[in-house]
Amino acid sequence: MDDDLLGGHLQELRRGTVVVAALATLRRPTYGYALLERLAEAGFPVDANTLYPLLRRLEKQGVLTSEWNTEEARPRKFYSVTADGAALLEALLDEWQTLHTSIGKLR
Amino acid sequence: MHSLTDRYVHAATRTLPEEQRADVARELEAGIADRVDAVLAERPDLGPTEAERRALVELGDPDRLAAGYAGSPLHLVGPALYPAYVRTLKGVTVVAVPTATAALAVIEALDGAGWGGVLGRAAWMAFTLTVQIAFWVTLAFAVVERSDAPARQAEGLGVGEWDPDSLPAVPADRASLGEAVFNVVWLGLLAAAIGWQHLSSPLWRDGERVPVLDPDLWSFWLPLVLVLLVVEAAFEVVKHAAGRGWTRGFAAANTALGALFAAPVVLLAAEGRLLNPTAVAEIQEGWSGFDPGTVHTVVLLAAVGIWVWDSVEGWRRARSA
Repeated sequence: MDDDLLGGHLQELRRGTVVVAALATLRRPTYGYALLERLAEAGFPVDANTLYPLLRRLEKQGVLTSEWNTEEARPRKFYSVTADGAALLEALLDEWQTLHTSIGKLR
Repeated sequence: MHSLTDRYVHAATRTLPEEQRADVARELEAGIADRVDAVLAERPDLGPTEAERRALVELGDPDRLAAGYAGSPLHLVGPALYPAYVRTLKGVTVVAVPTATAALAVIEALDGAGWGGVLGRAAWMAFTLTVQIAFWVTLAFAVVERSDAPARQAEGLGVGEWDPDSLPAVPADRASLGEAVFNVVWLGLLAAAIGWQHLSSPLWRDGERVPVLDPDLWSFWLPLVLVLLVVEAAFEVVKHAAGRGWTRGFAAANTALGALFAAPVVLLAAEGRLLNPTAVAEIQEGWSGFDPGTVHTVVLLAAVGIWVWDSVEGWRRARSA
């Protein structure tokens, strides 16, 4: 198969999972740039200019909370999931399982 | 002097609400600084200035980032409204431009303006109107796109959800559209040629343009021919819009209209009054064998021939439909 074609579809598939991956990672408090690197290592394609606004949006929706850590020389904003965020993550992972099962039945 | 990072952060946050701005700016600064450190750790040879530049290039257009924070769209009219937008644009243009242009042309002509003036002002009117319509319709849709509930707002504009009733009729005759367009274009070219031979004739005499057709005909005959061309074009449009292809009624109308159009041409050609005598003299200076009678005979035969052929074709297709 054409590598570009495969790459394009894989990217589309993973794009929708960035929120799940971010919520999963943020069960431990993490700041923006570190989260970006962890997601990139795990193979989730997300640009900084998408992720930073996304974190703000999720915080506004009440699934993330944030706190400034000023103990180090460079103050950073640490995000972590709220109780709502944890519930959302569970719901999304359940859906993922359902999708996986459904696709398996379709084959 | 401010650093590139300062300028970038300012550009990305200046449109945000006051209460968010400082917080977003501080976070963005830290993020950029982290990225610069990472770039430098990977490529120590770059130096801090180049590393900073690279980090900012990666982050991309600050306006895009600002739009991301504000949640505002990065398009004028989005996919939800686009079909309605195009429909509205087409609908308004198709109705308003020809109507207003034709009205203006008639008023100007009645006002006694020359043919060149009428054509020029009508063309300018059509152009200006098209630009104005495109601008205002686009502006209205761009504003709706930026409202809280674009779909509901669009209904207020009278361009609500798509409805199956608005589907266009399928033309009975598949070739109908192409045929109608071809015929209208041909009629337009004919009308343009009549104007062209008068306004920019290739013939000159004593430093003045010499029209090919007798200018005296403008007192009655040529305007009549132009009006008949418009009527023929209207017939083509009506026939296509009816979507039933050729019927006996259309074939009869086609024969009658063709006769109306051919009659003045045949009459003028038979009497040898079509060509401008000055133009004939001018041509004969370069080509002594030029005989205006031959030209008139050819025009006469062509007019009759086209009329007969077109009428027969109409009846033939009405019968086979």
